[in-house]
Amino acid sequence: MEATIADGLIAIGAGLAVLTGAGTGAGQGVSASGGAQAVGRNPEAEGKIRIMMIIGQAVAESSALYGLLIALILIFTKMSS
Amino acid sequence: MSAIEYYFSQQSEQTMNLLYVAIFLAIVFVVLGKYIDRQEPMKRPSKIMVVIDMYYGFITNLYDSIYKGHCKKTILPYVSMLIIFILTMNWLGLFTGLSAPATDYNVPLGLALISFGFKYAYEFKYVGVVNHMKGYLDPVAVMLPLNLMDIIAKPLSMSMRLFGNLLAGSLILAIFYSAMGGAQNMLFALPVVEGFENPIFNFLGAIVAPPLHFYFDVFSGVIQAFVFTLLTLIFSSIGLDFDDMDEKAKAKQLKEESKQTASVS
Repeated sequence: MEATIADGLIAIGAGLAVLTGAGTGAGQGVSASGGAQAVGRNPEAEGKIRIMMIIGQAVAESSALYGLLIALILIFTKMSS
Repeated sequence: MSAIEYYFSQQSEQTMNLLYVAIFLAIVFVVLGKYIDRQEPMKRPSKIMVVIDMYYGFITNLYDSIYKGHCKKTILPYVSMLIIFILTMNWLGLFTGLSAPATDYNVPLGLALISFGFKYAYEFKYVGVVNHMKGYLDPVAVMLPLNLMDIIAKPLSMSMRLFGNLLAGSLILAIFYSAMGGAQNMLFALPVVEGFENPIFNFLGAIVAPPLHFYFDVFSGVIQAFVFTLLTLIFSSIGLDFDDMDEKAKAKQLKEESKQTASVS
């Protein structure tokens, strides 16, 4: 099958959709830095802080996943070849 | 085609795997229940019993920190089951090689809908249908469309989180294995047969993949199971006013006590 211009545009769109990861990366970085500061200030509560940080990161991750899902849907259902 | 035939013709591989998980867990829990019944409380507990106790303590702490002891008979069994159920689903691919059930969107969507069924049941019971409907006009009546969108958006985001994590993990592992197969073919200059681009014995992937499996299956599976359970607890308790419920329960108790004393005297 020939690849058409529409296929190329779909691929570009999928690439743009995955850019949602940028915001998630920044957010997870902020939460990790907060966790590091909290451990530095209060080393006894390390376990609780780690759990809290990982939960926050897992919730923040969802926006990146929406972008990834949109990219996958574009690639696997819209492309003709 | 009859309705039952149609139902089974629509089953995907993942929903069948979900059925295997459910049957497996049912057997495990029947056996464990018999085992717990046979324990003697005055003797030293066995290792399995200690693990069960720890799990119970963990899940009750989590529940108490959010629900403050309310609705214990309905939400606690569901939540304590949910975390094991999602964990088993996520680890299924690691231990048996079947595809994880949560990579079919119907499975997380169903779980999220059950969780939100709890939310609306509690709100109708403890807040009242009229007050619940008034809540959609909160804080001003202009917010109504946004509040109505919230009904769909919350279960959607909750199920999409589980689905997306599992799908991303399984896809990345599949791409990685096929890349390792290609690398193995190139490294050892094996002839590529049409239709068998991936080598049958992919030992390069087997050497390099375990850390990825550790992250995407073990770590991500635990985190997602925990987060889904925590969000179930938080979302279902968000409309409930526990102080108000406490006061009502106390008033009811006082009324009953005064009734009893009146009947005695």
